[in-house]
Amino acid sequence: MQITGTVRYLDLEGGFWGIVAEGGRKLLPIGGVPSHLQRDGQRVRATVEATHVMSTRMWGEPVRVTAIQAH
Amino acid sequence: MLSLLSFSTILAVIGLGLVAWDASQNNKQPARVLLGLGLVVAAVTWRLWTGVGVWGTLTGLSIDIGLAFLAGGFVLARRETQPSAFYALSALGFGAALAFGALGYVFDPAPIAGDEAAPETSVEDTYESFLLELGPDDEITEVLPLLEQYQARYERAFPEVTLIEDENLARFFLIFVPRDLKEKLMDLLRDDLENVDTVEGNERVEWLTPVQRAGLGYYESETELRVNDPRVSEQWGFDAMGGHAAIALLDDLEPARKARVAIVDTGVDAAHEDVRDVFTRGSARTDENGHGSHCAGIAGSVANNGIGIASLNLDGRFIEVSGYAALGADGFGTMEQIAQSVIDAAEDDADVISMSLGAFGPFTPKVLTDAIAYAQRRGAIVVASAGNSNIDAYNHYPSNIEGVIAVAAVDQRLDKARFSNTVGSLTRPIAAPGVDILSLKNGGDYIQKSGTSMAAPMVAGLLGVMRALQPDLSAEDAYEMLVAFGQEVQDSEQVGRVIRADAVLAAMLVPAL
Repeated sequence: MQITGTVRYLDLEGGFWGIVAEGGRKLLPIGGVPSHLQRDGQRVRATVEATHVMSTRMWGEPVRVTAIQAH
Repeated sequence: MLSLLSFSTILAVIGLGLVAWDASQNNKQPARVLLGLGLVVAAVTWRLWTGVGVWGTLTGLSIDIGLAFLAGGFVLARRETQPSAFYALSALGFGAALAFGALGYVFDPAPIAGDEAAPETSVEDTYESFLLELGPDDEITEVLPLLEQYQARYERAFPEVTLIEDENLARFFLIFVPRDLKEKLMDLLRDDLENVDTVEGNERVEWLTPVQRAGLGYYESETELRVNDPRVSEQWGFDAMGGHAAIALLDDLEPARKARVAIVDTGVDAAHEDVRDVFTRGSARTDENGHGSHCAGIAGSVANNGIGIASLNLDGRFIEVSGYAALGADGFGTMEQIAQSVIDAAEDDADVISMSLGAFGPFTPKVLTDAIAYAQRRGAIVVASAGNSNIDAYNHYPSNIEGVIAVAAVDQRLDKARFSNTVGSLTRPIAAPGVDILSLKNGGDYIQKSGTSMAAPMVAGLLGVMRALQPDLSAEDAYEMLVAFGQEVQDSEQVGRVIRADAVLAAMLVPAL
């Protein structure tokens, strides 16, 4: 699934990075957001796959990112 | 237990019934005897082929023989032929079944053939794992050809749980399969409705390095401080749930026993100065991540020890804390690890299991539901965070699982925290402070964090003290007390009532005062 969205820093559970896709869908990248894109408000285009995982973050839908770039 | 009576039992009963029928006839027919004996041989073969482990197979075989001779004895008795030999052999069979069953219970060997071939490491580089639950009367051998076709290996997911203890968990297997074949194999197994109940993912989860946030300013308590912990004045949440008044109630009390609060998380820094005196049990005595240590401090850090922060664990007399690594030191965890941690905590006789973890999805993993049900049957009260997506927690597990106390977070105004999921749609909703909560930092320091993860152990700590005062308190009664004496707030319809430790403990202690 291809999405475009905005990187967000979530000040929860110690802090982590997520992506809010166009339309407001919250995506939690398994493996995080690459360091060069870790900027709150960074626009990105990504290819993601839904996955079935649990974490301490408890935010958004966990997804596996197969490709991501600045947009 | 379901495997003890099976198709082989029917074959054996019919077979020996035929033999007995022939024995009671004047007109003997060898073909009838041969058919009967053939059925008995088929029954034995079937049992040996499908049996669960050595002891399970021998127990089942003995039951088959006992029932078959009993049936044969009935046939002889009905035909007015002496049945005592059949009854004696039947008794022998049942006696053997009892003996083999007892031996199996005592020794609990790894019962599934093929365990020895399981990989030593849980996941190889090129392999991924998933969870498979067989049907109640099915054996792994029934799907083995498919597993072999896809180069998959298997091991029991929870080998220490026997069929007698929990017939659901005992039928979960970890399947290791080459990564590129996993999805196809999972789909094929899902289609095998005859043998397979559940197929679930077991992916690893990453936890990023915690980042310290700047606090919004310390909460200024107007309450008289009852403990000498130097940083208690920074704990607005402790004050908001009536912690100081609760401590006053506990001051001269001795609990019936110490309650055990299990932190199922990233482990706990057991050497931290504010928890080391109450840390016990559990395999996770370290925590390179910090999340579990933070939760442990909220639930059970020693109060009134002149160090750090306070919890309701006055002088460390009411709660002992244990850690279980549901998520690894590297921050990754799997469904199997999380379920295994719940099982471990339950088998360590945890009074309360605190789970500050979860995920959102349309299907709650059955392995998690089964593990929690297992813990609940053993008497544990299970508490879980509601999640941080600012949505309805109806599809957030494990907080949505039957009987789990689902904890939402409130802020310093006791409003729903902006991030907290709502729990009004769940069966056991409750709320607790979860914003800018000061607690342990792994390595010895202290740190503020926000999240429903921080709210859940606050509830777990209170439940621990309640169990310490009244060890036979049921989960249902405990939850009803949290609600009955909780504080109604503006957002209670969404998050439930906010816990009040002072009111709950006062109610519990009234008869003793």
